[in-house]
Amino acid sequence: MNLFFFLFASITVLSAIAVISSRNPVHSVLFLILAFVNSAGLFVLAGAEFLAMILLIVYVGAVAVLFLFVVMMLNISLEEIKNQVKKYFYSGLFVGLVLMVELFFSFSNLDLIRNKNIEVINNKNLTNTHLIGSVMYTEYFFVFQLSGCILLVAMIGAIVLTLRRREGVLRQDISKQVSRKKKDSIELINVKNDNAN
Amino acid sequence: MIYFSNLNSILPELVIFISGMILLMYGAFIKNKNLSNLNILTLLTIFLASISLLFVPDKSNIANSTFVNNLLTKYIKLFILILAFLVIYISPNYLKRNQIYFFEYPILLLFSLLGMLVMISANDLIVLYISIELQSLSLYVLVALRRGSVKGSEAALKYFILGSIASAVILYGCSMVYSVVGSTNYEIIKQFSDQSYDNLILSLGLVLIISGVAFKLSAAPFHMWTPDVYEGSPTSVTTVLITLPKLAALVVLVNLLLFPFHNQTFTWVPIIIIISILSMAIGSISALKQDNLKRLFAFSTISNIGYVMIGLASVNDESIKASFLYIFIYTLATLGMFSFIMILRREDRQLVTISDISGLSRSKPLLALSVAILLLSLAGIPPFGGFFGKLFIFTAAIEAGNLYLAIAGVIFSVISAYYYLKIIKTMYLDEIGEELNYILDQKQFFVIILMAFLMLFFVIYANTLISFINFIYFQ
Repeated sequence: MNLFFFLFASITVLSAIAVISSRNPVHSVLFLILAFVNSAGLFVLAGAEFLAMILLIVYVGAVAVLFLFVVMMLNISLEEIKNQVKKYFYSGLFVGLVLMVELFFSFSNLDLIRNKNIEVINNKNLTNTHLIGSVMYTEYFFVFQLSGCILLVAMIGAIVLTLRRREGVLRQDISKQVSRKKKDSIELINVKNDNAN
Repeated sequence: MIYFSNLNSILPELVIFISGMILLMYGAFIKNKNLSNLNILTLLTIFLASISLLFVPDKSNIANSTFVNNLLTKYIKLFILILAFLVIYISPNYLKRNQIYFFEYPILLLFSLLGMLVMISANDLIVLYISIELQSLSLYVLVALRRGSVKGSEAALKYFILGSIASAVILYGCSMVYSVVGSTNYEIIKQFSDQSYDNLILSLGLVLIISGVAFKLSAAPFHMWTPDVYEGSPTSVTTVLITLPKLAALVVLVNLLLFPFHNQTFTWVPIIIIISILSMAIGSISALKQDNLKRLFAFSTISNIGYVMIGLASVNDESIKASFLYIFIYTLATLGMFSFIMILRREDRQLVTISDISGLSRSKPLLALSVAILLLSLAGIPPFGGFFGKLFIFTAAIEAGNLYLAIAGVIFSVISAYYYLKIIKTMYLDEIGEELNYILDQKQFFVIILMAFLMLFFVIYANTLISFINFIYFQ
């Protein structure tokens, strides 16, 4: 267990460094996927198998692949990005330091955050997925339905904003093709052949 | 079923949800051909939802008391539904002329309305967050409807990115509150916060939630997006943005601050005071130089939210009631003003600058008169509605001992009177610029006249309205 923790953690950190240092943006995204997969492994070790699967599905399955598409489709000039890194180096360093100090303080005051009210009741030794499922469709049914509404709105929005019917674009109309009859398209005309003889 | 022991409590939401689905199918089949039917059906839906409010019990909570109704939420829902009805009523011709009339428009508005209604009744941080998301996601799409225009895309992108950051901030705050309380329900949070006076994490969570909601309200340090988004989005969408979500977000803020965090006043009162003064200052001073009517009214919104915040900052029943009265009057007056901006049109383009309406009183005297009444009301000139709104806010602030807030409010309302009066001066005293030979849209004109009447005869029904607010506030 300990061995696996160090394995996953070290690969996560190394691939995270590789994300920001590799020269090729496609390599960066691939390293990002590696980092996600390894953090999913860390979640499994911590006993949060549901979170691990969500991380794989959402981040690796959707977000990272989307990134990969964006990187490959768009022509991103690497030189510009390198220059920007130089430009923002000191402000970035400052933000990073502030974040590190904050993390330090919050970890030294961990008992302030640690909760005394929440008691996890898990008598039957069920998995996380079971437990989440058992409350999601009962106690949080209302919120669940509202989230469904949000997804519907997102879908409508994506269609409204991207579907455009432009003039002059040739489209395939299958029902029109199928319903085409012989008599609509072929016309037999008797042609008098005068020049033949 | 115990969970939804009383379906009546969510009847208006159910009506809007189900008819939203049905209209979506209907719209998918008619495909932008016969949209006036769809519009009538949407109006009918909102009407039905308002009728179904009658069946909502006066005091009820469902879904493990994550969704609560009382008289206040009931009547604010009614008011929002009426506003939404008017907004949808006036917009079709505008949308048609600007080629953005899709069948999704009323449906997205319905879903946004659903989000707002749930927001008002939310008694739980998760429900609150989800409903805010539902409300704003629909609005992001509506803002982006004008795909061709550069300003429209800029506005949509700005609104989307900054709005998501605000949502993330709200969620972060919620997670902090949850981490110390162990529950997201308002009642349990109240039990916890009544006993804790120096819990750093709880205060931090509260501050983050307030900042996120203040963004949705476009209150001052979080107002940056307002002018650009209001200018770039189609005017009918701006009308929605400037009236409905403001009211819903205010109710959310009042519910949050006065119920679960009522004993944390030492944390949030200073923040609300700063937000209030900053909003009034930035709103009234930045608007002075604006020439674009939509930008001008964006800044005017910011300053008006500042006045509403004065009422919230002096925490007592009188001042909260004054806040509600003020935002009622304000939303009605701006609804009138924005239907005026929608009506302004010459041949093929919308007019949005002040110079376009010079000499309006000569060609369209009735229109100019109604708009002048609305503007005087917004400026707070005595016989009109806006004056009484400000009067109640300032007296409540003085009674609560916040004299400096009242003084600041008076000073900034004098400053903001300048640009309202400037518009009136342009309409009445300036030379006629280009001839305005447009045909007035009947529906928009009707709403302008209606709002002007409401502002003009405010004195007559003021007593009834105030006693009504008293009644719903102290149920």
